[in-house]
Amino acid sequence: MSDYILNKDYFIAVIEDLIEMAEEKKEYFIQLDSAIGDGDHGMNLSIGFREVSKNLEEWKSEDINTIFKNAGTALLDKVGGAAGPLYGGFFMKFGLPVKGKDEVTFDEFIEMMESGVAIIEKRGKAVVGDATMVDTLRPAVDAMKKAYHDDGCSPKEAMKIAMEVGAQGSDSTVPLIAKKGRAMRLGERAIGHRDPGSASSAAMLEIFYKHMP
Amino acid sequence: MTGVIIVSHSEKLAEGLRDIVMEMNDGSVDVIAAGGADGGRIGTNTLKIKAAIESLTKCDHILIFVDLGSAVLCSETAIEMLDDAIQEKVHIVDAPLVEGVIGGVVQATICNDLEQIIATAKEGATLRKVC
Repeated sequence: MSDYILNKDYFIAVIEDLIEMAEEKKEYFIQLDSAIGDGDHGMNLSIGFREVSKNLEEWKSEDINTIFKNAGTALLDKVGGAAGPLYGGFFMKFGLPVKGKDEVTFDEFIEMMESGVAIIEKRGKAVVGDATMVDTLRPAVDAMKKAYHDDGCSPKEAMKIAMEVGAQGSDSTVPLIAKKGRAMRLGERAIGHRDPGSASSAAMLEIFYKHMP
Repeated sequence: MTGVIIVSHSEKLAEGLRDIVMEMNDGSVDVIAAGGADGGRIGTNTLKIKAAIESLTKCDHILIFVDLGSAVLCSETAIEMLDDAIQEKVHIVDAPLVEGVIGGVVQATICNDLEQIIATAKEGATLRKVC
């Protein structure tokens, strides 16, 4: 399995698809966020990824880390809500374990995911059960590690499991009382609503899976 | 010397609050409004806050006052992006925005003691307006 390689084209395809996803799901995220938040999650992601889109062509000659660092900085600058530092942080840290590289092994990919999710947990001070993007991402990354390291799954199978577990994680936020953000102030009124960040994170995992060779 | 940064979701609110407090500032406190998201939208901007901190590094301490939610998250992120030596100077004050900034700035014109300034700013939380 050691010859399994994810090259720069894969990561660029992921970013291009994230840009499309942010547009396609804009209304959906706005709807989710209007129910329990300030409604800006959809618009914020769209504005953020439009900025990424504007510059991506220029970044393509850089190494994987630099591309994601630039994308993260764009999100940090353009996304006005909490998603800015969270997704911005995710992408800025995502490539850090593979600085200078143009292709990575699946072990390195797992490190990248761990590095990105860790900063979301740290910045958001959130744990699983708080009804945030962490409810999607933490179980997904843990499941991916287990599938690949312990259960003998192929990289693509492991990423599929991560995507499925992430989607379930997002589903799990529906009956929860939110512990973070504006939704926290709603108390029991947040019950019955999916956390918007958990939904965008699940959509991101789908894209990481979809383009995997 | 003390530096104060006002982080609100509204650029206008941050600037308006700066206008008020500058009436009470004898010029010894640097106050920067760092409100709003990119393009003046409602929200907060990490890079704007980071630039504000960087412009105050000559100060002995830098106090950040926030309205809510992502104002805290963005301020923390901005601080994390800076060198340790600068980070040590920066404090996010857990105080109400308007009362905290006014109390803090007025105290900072009187003394340069960080704890006293923060304590005065925090008193804003219990300030009675109608007796």
